[in-house]
Amino acid sequence: MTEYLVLGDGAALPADLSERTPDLHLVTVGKKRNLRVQADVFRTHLWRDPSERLYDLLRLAAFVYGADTRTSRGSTKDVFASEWSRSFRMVLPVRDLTFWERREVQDALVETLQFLTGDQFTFDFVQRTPHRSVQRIFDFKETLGQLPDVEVVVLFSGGIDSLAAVLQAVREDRHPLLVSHRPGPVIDRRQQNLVEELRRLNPWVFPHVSMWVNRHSGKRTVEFTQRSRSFLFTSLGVVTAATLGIDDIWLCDNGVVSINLPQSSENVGTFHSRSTHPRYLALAQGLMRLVTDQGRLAITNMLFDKTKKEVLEIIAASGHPELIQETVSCAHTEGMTRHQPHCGVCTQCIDRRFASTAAGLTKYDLLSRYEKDVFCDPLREGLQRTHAENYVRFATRLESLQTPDQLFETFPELYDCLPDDGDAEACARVTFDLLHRHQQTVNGVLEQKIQAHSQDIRRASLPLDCLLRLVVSGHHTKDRRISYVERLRSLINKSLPAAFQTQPATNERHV
Amino acid sequence: MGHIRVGRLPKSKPWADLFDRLQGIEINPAQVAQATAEAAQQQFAALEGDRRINYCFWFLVRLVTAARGDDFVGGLARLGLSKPSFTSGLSFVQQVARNIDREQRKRGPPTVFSQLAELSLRQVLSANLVEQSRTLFGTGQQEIQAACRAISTRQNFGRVARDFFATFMSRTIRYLIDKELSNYIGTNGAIGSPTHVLHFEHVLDRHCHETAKIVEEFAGGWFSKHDWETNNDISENETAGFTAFALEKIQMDLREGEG
Repeated sequence: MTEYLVLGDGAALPADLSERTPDLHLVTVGKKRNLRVQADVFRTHLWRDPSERLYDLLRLAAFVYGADTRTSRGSTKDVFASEWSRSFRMVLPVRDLTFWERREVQDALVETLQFLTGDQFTFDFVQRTPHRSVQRIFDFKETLGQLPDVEVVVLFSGGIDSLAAVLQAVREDRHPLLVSHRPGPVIDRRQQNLVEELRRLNPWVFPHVSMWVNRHSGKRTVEFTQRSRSFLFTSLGVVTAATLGIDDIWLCDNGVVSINLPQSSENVGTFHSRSTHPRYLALAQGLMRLVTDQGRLAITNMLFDKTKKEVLEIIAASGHPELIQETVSCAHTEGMTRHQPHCGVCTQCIDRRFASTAAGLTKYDLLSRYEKDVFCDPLREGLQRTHAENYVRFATRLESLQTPDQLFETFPELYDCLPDDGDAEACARVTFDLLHRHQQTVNGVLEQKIQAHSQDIRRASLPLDCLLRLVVSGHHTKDRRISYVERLRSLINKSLPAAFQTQPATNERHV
Repeated sequence: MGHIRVGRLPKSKPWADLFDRLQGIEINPAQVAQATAEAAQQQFAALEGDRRINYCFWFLVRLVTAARGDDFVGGLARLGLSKPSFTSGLSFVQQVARNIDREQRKRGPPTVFSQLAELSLRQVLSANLVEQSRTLFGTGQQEIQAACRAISTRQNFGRVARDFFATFMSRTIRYLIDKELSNYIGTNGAIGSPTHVLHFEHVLDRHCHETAKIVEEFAGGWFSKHDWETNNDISENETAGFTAFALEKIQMDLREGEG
């Protein structure tokens, strides 16, 4: 495994590395800046400065994110994924060197990042040169009163799940402060719109801290899997919470996504993201308690026991189901239009379509906002068909599992979700119930759609490669001779035009 | 769903036979396994010396030998499981999983295969310890130890070793063919629907299990002999030979076809 040497903000290389040239030099300050970290957002939005250690955390998370997105995990053609896991040696400057050099801190940091990203990390911290002090605009003690009485920090991505978490906090009268990561202008605009809508519809002011952390210049983003983004997101929430003296941070996804079990056997380890995985949240909470010295700091996924359909029902129950149409779930931010922001065939879009159909909320999740109708449009070979088929296959497999024991034996990845201390049996039961409800939702929607399109299916007027046809295809029960003839016909159809491309057929015999 | 990375198999010559098998009007798991094992022969051969895979098997060996002894907790501590909790089989397997993950990293960075080996071990332990350690009066150290000890007979160890290696090979083959299977559903081939894929995978698992029969026959004897010779102290190096043999034998039989 190649070790990538990553240098942050011109830190001096330790003696054992002095001969090496860094593979990546990330700079967050000065004229040669290539990584934008909008650290002053806390001054402008919260009117106070985070502690030096929190600034360190923020930059550390940004450096990890920068290294992650600028180092390739290899192509998807790399069958055995030999380049998927990378090894990073990070030389980073920090202000609170004594703290970051502590063994327990480094162990917690490395374990958290390794679980989240599947990469190897080694950190060398060096003393950051004291920065030029910035003139304070406000007298902090006097301005404290200007902030509303915030009780919980909710990490807000602008998707359905984080919106439901915000509404849940409102329902519990918890006065949430929203924190967002701004990776690019498209997502930023969506988040701002949604916050405006929330403010318009609710009496609460929804303070919103939104921070730019993205590429400023230099080496282009080459890796879009962004497994470390959740650590950056968590760190933004923690810095905000700790600066305000708040203990509760919500990082929410519905339970099925949070666990993110492999839908097919080719999904191994961090091939599927672990952004809100229970183990990641537990590891991150342990680390962040050390960083903040807040022993009661809690990073919680309030939606863990909910399916996507149930999350949508939380939004509907808020009395404002129309907010659903303001959220975007699609994995593809680039190339989508404002009126059609969903591709319809990535895993997130598929999950959203099934959930909104099951919840009876399609009025607020219009088909016209999807580029493709996953149920009836042809699915191209490759990603599109694989995602859709795997999604359905996963639900079918879940349907056959009758007990938590069977579930854990079939998906031993679930052992990572069990708490270190606590009732494992109870947790297993909750997980089983959750996934059972998920499969009921998915299979129920399929039955509903098959019924709705029964005429098209009977007439065989749906494309052969649309999801409904794939699901109901009873092809394997067909007479094999007919299959053989059809196969021959398809081969001839494909090969004849190519064979006569340069010289037209002269007669029947020639053909 | 969160982000999921999926890939495809290259359309190069070594994989051509597998593509032919997948698009045939009949799909035979033995032939698919054979074509996959042929195409990935080089990578599969390298597994025989993989320390991380061997570690999983060695852990299984030492877990059952620890259960045989008087000092189960001490035996577990020597495996890295200090202060284990015995409140349930699930919780015990969870601790084992964490420990293996940590120990595997000491033996090299994680690979697809090392992770599949770890999952296979979890699956086998799950099948043999969770339900078996439950009693009307709950679960404790005694029950976990008894469930582990039950695997330590010559016959049962052979069965569990076979399960481990068969599961590992099956997961490995499915890891590869699942990159393509979705594209062959309902396209005039033999796979009609996602349900049919599940059925196919089930038959493939059974085929791998049949192919690993030789491991069962050999593992029981190997375990008894070495456990006696080493006085309950089989080393990681000693299991390496067996791991290499088991993997080589299964792969050879898979390449030969019908098991």
